[in-house]
Amino acid sequence: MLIVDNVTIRRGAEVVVSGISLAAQRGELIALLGPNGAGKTSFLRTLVGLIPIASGSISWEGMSSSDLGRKWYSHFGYCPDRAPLISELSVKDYLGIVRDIKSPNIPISAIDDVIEGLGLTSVQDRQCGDLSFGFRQRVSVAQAVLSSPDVIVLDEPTQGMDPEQVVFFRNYIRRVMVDRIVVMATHHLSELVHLDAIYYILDKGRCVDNGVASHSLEQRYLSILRG
Amino acid sequence: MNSQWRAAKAVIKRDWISTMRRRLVLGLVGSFGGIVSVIFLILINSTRQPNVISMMVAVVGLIAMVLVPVIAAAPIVDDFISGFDDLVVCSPIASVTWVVARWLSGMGVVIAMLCGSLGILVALWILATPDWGMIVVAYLGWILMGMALVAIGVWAAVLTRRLVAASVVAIGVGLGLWILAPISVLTSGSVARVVNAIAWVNHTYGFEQGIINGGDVMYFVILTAIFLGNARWLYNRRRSE
Repeated sequence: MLIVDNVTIRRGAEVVVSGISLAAQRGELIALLGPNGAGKTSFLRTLVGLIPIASGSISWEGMSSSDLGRKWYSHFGYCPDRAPLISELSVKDYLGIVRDIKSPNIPISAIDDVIEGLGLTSVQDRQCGDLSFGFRQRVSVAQAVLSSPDVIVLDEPTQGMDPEQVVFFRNYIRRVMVDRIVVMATHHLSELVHLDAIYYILDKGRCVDNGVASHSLEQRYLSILRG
Repeated sequence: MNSQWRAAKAVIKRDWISTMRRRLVLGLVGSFGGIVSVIFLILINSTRQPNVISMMVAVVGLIAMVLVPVIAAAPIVDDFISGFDDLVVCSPIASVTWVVARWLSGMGVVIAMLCGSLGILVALWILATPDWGMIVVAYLGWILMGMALVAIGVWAAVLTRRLVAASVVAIGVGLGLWILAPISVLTSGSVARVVNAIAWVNHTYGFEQGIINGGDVMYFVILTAIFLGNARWLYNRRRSE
């Protein structure tokens, strides 16, 4: 179980996220919503260990990030908002390098599985720099799920995807989240209903609403943010 | 340990593929080999062979001072800009593994640059009777200088995270060490001794003359260790930011 307890994040003197708490179990999708600058990315980067917590705690299966040290990273797969690709490498080479750096103990066949699962077979030998934006996002998601992490952290994974790719991505997430937790920042509210997501709306670093996504989410989101 | 070694190999592979697919870098590596080859060719008809070899060691060393740190810094800076480094930061790879792997990648490029001039040695062997001892010492000197310059490039990349800034800092440090020798004439006593000890040129002179001096070898080894150690410290600090 992932537990975030009253977490505050600072950037210098500025508080970017304040008093966020949430809990998630395997099979759940947590969606972070909110306008740009609300603190979603900072929160996700904190979750994976890229930004330290100013106060509060985050724990996985009862162990805090400070207890686990570097082992903390092995529980998380992170897909940042900008696809962290290496332009000169082919998709397959890139995923091979990510595997060797992040989780060398997983079998090499995991690369083929994730390539197939995310529909990357046709572009696996193309250089990452030559891919369309949608495919770049897919490769970015592929590297995040490659090591079979317990928690998959996705920062706006569907940006730049066409509607067909979004549906493909949704189905893929539905498959992989069966025994994992997915934490995702997104602006595609309508997608969340299909994924039975639990949403948290952030505004100016604070959680202003949360609940289970329904068809009225978009209306609710706008009414809350417009005050 | 095994996982660290595999991670290091992956970083080296990443840098190697990336570097070798850049036309600019390939051009620079090729030009470097070409420059060394042309100077070697001069040797064939030269009656003042030792002077030409000395000049070659100095000139090539100066060119390397500009090229090598930039080539070493480029893939590191790319990773900072693309966000790939975020994946590395939240991976189990140790900072020391990361730094050493990046340094080894840079050394691979240095070796490739030197290999570009090896073909001409065959021509020299057939057409002339060069002083092979001086040539071997020259190559040893370049490898040692390359070690230090790659370390400076890695350090500058971690320090600045921008290619232009890293290039300016790395070339500045290299040239700073280089011009210390002429500056030392303005100093005296213990200050002059210290300045002379850290001046780059004072430690390349032996290689230019075909002499291997233990102090000169140590100078480049220590310089490499200092910059790599500092790069590791800076990278560790970034990981705990």
